[in-house]
Amino acid sequence: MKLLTHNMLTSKCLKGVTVGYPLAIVAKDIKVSEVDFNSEFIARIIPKLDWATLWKAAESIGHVGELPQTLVEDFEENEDFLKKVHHILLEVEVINGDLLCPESGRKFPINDGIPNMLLNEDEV
Amino acid sequence: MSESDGEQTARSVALEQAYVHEVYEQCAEKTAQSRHWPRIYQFLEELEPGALVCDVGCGNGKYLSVNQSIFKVGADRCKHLTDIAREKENEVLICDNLSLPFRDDSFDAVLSIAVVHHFATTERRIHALKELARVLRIGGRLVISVWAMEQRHRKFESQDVLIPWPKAYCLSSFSNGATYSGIPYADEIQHNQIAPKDFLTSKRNSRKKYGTKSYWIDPVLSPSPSTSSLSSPNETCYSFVRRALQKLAGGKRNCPGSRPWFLETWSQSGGKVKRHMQQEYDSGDVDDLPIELRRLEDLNATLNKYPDTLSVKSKSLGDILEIQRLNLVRSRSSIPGLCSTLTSDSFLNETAETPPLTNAKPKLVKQKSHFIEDVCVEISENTAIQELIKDLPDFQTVQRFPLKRGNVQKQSSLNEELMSIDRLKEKEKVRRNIMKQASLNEEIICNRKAFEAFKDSLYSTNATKRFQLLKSGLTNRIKQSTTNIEKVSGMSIKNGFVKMLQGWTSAENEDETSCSTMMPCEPVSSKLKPAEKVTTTIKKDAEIVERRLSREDGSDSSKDSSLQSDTSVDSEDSFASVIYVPKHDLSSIIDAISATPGCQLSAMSAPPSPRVKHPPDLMGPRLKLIPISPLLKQFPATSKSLPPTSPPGLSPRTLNSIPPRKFFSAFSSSHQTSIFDKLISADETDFNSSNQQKITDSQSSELLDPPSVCTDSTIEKHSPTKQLSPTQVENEPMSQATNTENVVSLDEAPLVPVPEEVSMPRAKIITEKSSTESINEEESRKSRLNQIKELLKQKPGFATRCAKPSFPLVRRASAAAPGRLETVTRPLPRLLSLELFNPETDDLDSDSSGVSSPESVGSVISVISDERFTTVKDNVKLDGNGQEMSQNPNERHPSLVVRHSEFSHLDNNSAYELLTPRSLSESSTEVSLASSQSIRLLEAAAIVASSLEDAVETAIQVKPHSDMYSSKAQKYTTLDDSLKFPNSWRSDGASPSELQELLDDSKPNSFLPETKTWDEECRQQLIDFTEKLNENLIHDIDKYCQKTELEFSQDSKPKRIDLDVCVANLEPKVVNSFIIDSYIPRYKQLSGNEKLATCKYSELVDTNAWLNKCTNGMEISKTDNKPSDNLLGLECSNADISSKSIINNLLIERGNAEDIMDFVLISNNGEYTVREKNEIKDSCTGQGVPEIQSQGSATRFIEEIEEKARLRFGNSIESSDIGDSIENTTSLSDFSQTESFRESVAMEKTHNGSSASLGSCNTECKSKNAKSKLQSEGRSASEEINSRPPMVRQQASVNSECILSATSNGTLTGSSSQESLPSDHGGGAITYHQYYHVFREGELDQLINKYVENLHIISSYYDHASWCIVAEKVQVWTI
Repeated sequence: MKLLTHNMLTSKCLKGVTVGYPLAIVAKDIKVSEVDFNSEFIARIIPKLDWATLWKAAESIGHVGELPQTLVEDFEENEDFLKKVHHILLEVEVINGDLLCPESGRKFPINDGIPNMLLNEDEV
Repeated sequence: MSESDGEQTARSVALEQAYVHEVYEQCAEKTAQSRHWPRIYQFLEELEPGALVCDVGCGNGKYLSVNQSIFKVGADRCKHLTDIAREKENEVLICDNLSLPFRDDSFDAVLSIAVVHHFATTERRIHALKELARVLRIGGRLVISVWAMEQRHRKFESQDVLIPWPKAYCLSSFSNGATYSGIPYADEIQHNQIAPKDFLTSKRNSRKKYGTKSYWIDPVLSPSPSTSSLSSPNETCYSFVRRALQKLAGGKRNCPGSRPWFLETWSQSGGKVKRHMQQEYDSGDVDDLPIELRRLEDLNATLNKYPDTLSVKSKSLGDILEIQRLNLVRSRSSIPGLCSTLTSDSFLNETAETPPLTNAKPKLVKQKSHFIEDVCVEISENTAIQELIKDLPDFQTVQRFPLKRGNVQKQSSLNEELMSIDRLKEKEKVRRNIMKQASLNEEIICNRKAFEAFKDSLYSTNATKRFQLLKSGLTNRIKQSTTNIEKVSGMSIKNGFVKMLQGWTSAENEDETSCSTMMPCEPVSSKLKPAEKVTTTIKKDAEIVERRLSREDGSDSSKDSSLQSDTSVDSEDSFASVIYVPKHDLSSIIDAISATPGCQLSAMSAPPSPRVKHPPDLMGPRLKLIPISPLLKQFPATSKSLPPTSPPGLSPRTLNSIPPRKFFSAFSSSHQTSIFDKLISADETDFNSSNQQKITDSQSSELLDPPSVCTDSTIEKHSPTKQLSPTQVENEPMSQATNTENVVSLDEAPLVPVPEEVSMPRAKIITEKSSTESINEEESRKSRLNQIKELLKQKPGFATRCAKPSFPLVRRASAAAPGRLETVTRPLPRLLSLELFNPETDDLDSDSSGVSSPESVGSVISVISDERFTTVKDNVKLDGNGQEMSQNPNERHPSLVVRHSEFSHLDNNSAYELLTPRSLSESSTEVSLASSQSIRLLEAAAIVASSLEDAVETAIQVKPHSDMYSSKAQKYTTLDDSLKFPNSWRSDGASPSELQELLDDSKPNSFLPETKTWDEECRQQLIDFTEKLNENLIHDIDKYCQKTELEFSQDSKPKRIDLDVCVANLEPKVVNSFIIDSYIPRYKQLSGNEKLATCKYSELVDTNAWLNKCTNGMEISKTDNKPSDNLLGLECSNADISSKSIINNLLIERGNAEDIMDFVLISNNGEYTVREKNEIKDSCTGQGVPEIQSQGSATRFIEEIEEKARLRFGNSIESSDIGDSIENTTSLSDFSQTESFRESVAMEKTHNGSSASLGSCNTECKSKNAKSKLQSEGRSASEEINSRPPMVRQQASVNSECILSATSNGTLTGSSSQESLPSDHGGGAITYHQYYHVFREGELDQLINKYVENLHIISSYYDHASWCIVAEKVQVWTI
């Protein structure tokens, strides 16, 4: 699971959960791979992100690096910043671990890089 | 409507689980990487860089690699598919379309390719669409594609279809359309046609008409019968799935070649559907074509009358039902209502008359609608007055029975095959009627005028009479068992009412159609069987209440039956006891196969007319109802028949079903012979069960030794302590249920000297018990698990267990409980308890039968049991001393009884064990040996257990089975076990090869000595062998299975411990005795036929993964004569150990299964089973291949494996499948291929049924599975017996006959689901059926326009046989 995906995940479908965002990450295995960098792609992605969530997620898995806690104003022109974002968004993957619902504490297991977000019938 | 909604949802979920999710899980690897659809590809390529795209239902991720400048997240519900997609470096996650785990407005584009058509209801489809729109940002684009109903290369009769996956995959553009080479491409005609104006107008009209029905999300859909059927509160998931299966099976069997996709002019007249049915019936072309679950929606037709346009829309659920109907009685499918009026006899004629029927259909539909309306009205009244409702249900049930009975009589006249067909047709009709009724009710509710008309119609017809009858019946019932009624009513009053109403409608329809408003008693008698006039008279004597019950049961049998059964639950408890009788019948059936046909015919007759169908179904349901778990199972079965009507009142229905059984039993006692014949028929199994109670004993004895049997039967009847009679004992093992029934009857008899009278008291008692039980049942479901656990823990204390089990087991126990009380003192009492267990098995059988196709399955199951019994009897005969046999059985029984007491939960297992002992007893001397051996075996078992505990590795071989079972059981018990299952299975899968190798290596060593001593000292040798084998296995395992062993050992150890304990207590003896007995004969046989023996051994062992191993061993043995002997011995030893462990596991599993039934582990199980099946299949195939090369038997094995695989495909009954496969293999190897085939067929049938049940209802499925497992075990036992017969060809012949009868029954009754599967098997390829709701042109557009206001359709076109829509999310401003 890439952090970009995590940035969009919620547990709001859980019964009794209103926001369910962001999901906490309990990472057991993290894989860092190399992905081709596309500055335009990253620059277009950033506005769609919840930066605070991304930063927290990066911090929780120990890959926050030099990523600023607040979004840089001129990120579109900041190649270095975009590469950092690229790295954290696409190159860092949580292979095994859990996602935790911030409200209910419900665990969503991540196995082999695939989060299992299925809910039981009584949870919907 | 909360209940109905819940039922609907549950049904939908079950359907999707069984026919979508599991199929994808199974076929994930098979999904070829189809090429991209150009338009989708283009859509993705045109997205601007940086776009976030979510592919919901990404499958293997073929669209996740398109356009590297966008970020794509694949989401799928199938783990296997996500794994595949993940391997391609795609970002994927597992989630459900109905609860997407994404933020709102987070994606720039969302793909939904070939997803929405898998949702079973309009509500769910809309929900899915809304979820897709939710995660889409404003201005984002959504691409949806759904399968089109209007395809160039295929025609769908209904919108809800089950399509063989591979075929569908190939044929349809489907999601992965790769295989689909573009046939549709040519067709790529972009249709912007959202919906014809007419269609829209019609929808509007429908809305107006049905607008009052707020609960229907889709007014349009709601009018459609199919949708209504789905949502119909009464219909349960189980029933739904069952219907689907039945349709599938029925389609193949009834119309083997005729599944052609008839071009249906659904366009406007629903009546045309009937034509389709006819066409299907006549036309036998499409083997190649995917199996479509077409629902001939009579209801739709009726609905169409009101809103023609509505009919146009697919009725997803209804369609499925229709399909089943169609399959069963394709011609009738459209005619159901008409058919009902016409009477069962007309079914055949109807098929021929279908064209005219189409004309008449509208009328019929109207009538039905009226009926429905009446029902609805009644229901409304009921809802208003709960008390009244309670009363009403009873009345309704009563009325229904007579009608049904009349149908049955008519049916009886028909030939057996015809009967079977008729039954199917009747079932379909009933279902249709129910569906229609449900729809009508809704409609009626909406339109009071219509209601009035309906009322008038009802009143005009028989409404007044019925009402009076109902009132009288209610009053009587209340008087007789007010307490019971209260309980029951409390439990399922509402359900019962609904069912009652439905039953009313159906009954009325039936009455009208058949003009059989005959007195309830008379109809019952007629229904039961013309030949069984005496029985009918007895039934009449039984009392109105019973009649009512029987009526209810009869109605319940198909659709109404469930409702009726529910309503009659109070009195049904007694009936439940009766249910057991079927086994005897089965046995008798076996003896007199010819008679069985008659029975089947009767059963068949029931189906043809819904009423008639009900009776047969009732039998099964009743039987099922009897056992506690059975109730659940029964419910499913009933639900299948009744699905639409009585989801809520399933338990009540089951209860109702039980009473009829009692009646039947009473009747059967009086008219055993006639009943036997009738009972023989699968449908009659239920009746048989009742008859079996009395008859089974007598029959079994008769079969074995006519004189002795008679005496036995008389003894049983006369002496409360039925157990005492050796014959009884024999019967007990043969049909424990029958014993229990007898006991019950005896118990009742004391109360009322006359059997008939007894039935009344029984009914009362039972009703009370049942009421308590019914109440308990619901609670007991949960409590049962606990109880089972407790029982397991308490194994030492049988008595306590018995007492407790009675209730938990109670479903059976309810009837059996009395018997237990009576028989407590003597060993026979134990037998009674065992019998009680047997009832469970019977119930299981019935349930299993019910699962696939209630009637057919039940018949098949019953047949199996009969076979077993017959085999035992045959064995006894062979021995020449039926008395001795009986005595032996008694001896065995005590041990068995103890075991039973211990395994009260594992009653089925015990029953199997008992059966096996009997089979062993077949080798006359073997019995005594078995007893002594049993002790030795116990020791050996203890040793084995210790060895197992000590060395998990050693255990691995044995344990794999036990582990598998235990793991399964544990899994079942604990839903969490899901993980374990895969592991265990995997390990098992891995282990088989290893084990095989090990076996090969080790077998030679141990076996040589073993073979020598086997005849007399088989026990000791077996022990030694087992030890040796264990050692060898341990070594081998250590070497071969390291990883797998570790997993298994971990998982299995705890399980093993439990199992070991249980085994040590009960299993060792039984298992040992069984194994020894089986082995001895086998060894003997081996001397004559080493291969056969090996096969047998392997089969025994195989009950678990051993089959594969055995097959390997067989192969090896084949290749090398000496090795074969050794292998055989090893296998035997292994089998013993494994069998013990397995048995324990099975028992546990059974208990667990029952518990699980309570829980909703079905999905997990199904998945696991699927995996296991796959593994097993793989292993089997691998083994089978070598075998094939070596021998023709190998081919047989392969076939069996395939069948198994298919069965497995059907659903998730792992144990049953395994057992079946084993049985099949054994039978094949031992007996002629035909026999094996027959058995396999039966097995398949059962499997199918079980699978179907699983798919449909989790809990029910689970119970069914458990039952099926038990049955499978029993079958395996029977098979073993059969295998032994080779030694004693006579027995074999008997067995073969039994098998034949079973197969015939299965074919006839289970033609629907099982048949379909077998046919598939014939092809040699496993076919999964996948559920589709094919969309009509513009249907999807309408859904979006009406229910997803924030989606604006940009374009709608036809591509790859699918309707595709590109929509944009817009901001919706609400003022």
